[in-house]
Amino acid sequence: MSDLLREQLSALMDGELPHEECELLVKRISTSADLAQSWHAYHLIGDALRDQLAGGDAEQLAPRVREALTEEGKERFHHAGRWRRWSTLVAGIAVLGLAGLAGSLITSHMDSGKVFAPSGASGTRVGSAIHVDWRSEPQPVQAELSRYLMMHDPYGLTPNPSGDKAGGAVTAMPPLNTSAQGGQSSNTSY
Amino acid sequence: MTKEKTSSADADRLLVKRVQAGDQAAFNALVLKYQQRVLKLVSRYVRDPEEALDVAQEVFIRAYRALKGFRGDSAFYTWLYRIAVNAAKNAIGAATRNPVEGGLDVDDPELVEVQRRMTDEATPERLLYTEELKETINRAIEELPSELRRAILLREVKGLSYEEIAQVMDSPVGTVRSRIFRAREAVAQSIKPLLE
Repeated sequence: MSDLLREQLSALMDGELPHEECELLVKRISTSADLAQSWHAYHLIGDALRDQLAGGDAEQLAPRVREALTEEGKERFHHAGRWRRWSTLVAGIAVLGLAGLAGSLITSHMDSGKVFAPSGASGTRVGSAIHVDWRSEPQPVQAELSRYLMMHDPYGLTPNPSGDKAGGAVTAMPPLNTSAQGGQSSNTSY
Repeated sequence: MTKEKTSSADADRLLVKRVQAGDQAAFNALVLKYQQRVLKLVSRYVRDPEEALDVAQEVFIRAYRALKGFRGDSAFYTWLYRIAVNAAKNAIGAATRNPVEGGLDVDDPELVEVQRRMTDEATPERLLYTEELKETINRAIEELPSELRRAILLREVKGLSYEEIAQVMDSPVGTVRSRIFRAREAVAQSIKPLLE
């Protein structure tokens, strides 16, 4: 550590350092052990000259405070860790509880069909009402939609109701403007 | 154009700002600066040196915890002073509420005197250390060249500014600053073995 820094430190203590030099120096006090030691010694000298020395015990204060604050920091960290572990555990239990509750509700619904049964068919099992293979049933709306798409699909990509791909639809495509493509073959297919 | 100078309180303000930003080492610098004054203040209320040390430690810990809310309306030491007086008064209050302490009745003057002497006898090393520190500093001051001694005494004991010292000593401010620094350095070297 240079003499210049220590001289600045001495001036800072006396409130005689230009403002612009202060901030950096104060930062250095908290990062340089040597500078902190000089800071300590200079203040001790001033206290002794003003007869403000409390006793040898005072020199134990800084290490004791530092240790206590470090311990407190560790304690807070452990406390936060404990709290995190507990909250994770509680959240896990809550999720399991909710899953169990949902499962029992579903089971109870499956066991008694009253809830979903139509009003006129009380006592009908839900299973028989729910487990209808709707895909096998004729769906008028769906058939109508498929027909509509067939008629309005110029590329013939929509399967027809019989399940065949409308391969012939390609020929029904409007011809490409070959002149705009610099003489490319009109047989270009997609 | 003269540069704007700081006051001694400005250094505290900057250190406080750093502590508030999470720099614990900056708080250590504040403790190093004020530990003697705080312990001396607490010792005026709490006679037992061990208890006084505990209370002084508590003062700094309380200050550290409360520092986030310190807005700087007053000087840091004024604020710390209030914490110290409150903590010392609380400690006295606690001692009054618990009259039997360490097997001795603190209401009994004879027993209190016995306890005081026992405590004094228990801390000869501490008293010796303080005495040695004072003696070493005084001796080092005596051994300084007269300009250096005069400059540091005008600053530390009389509390004069560099400008005022420059007028008294008929020297430039820069010379005063340098003399005070050199005086501090010389004395600091002499007490170094005691601080290790």
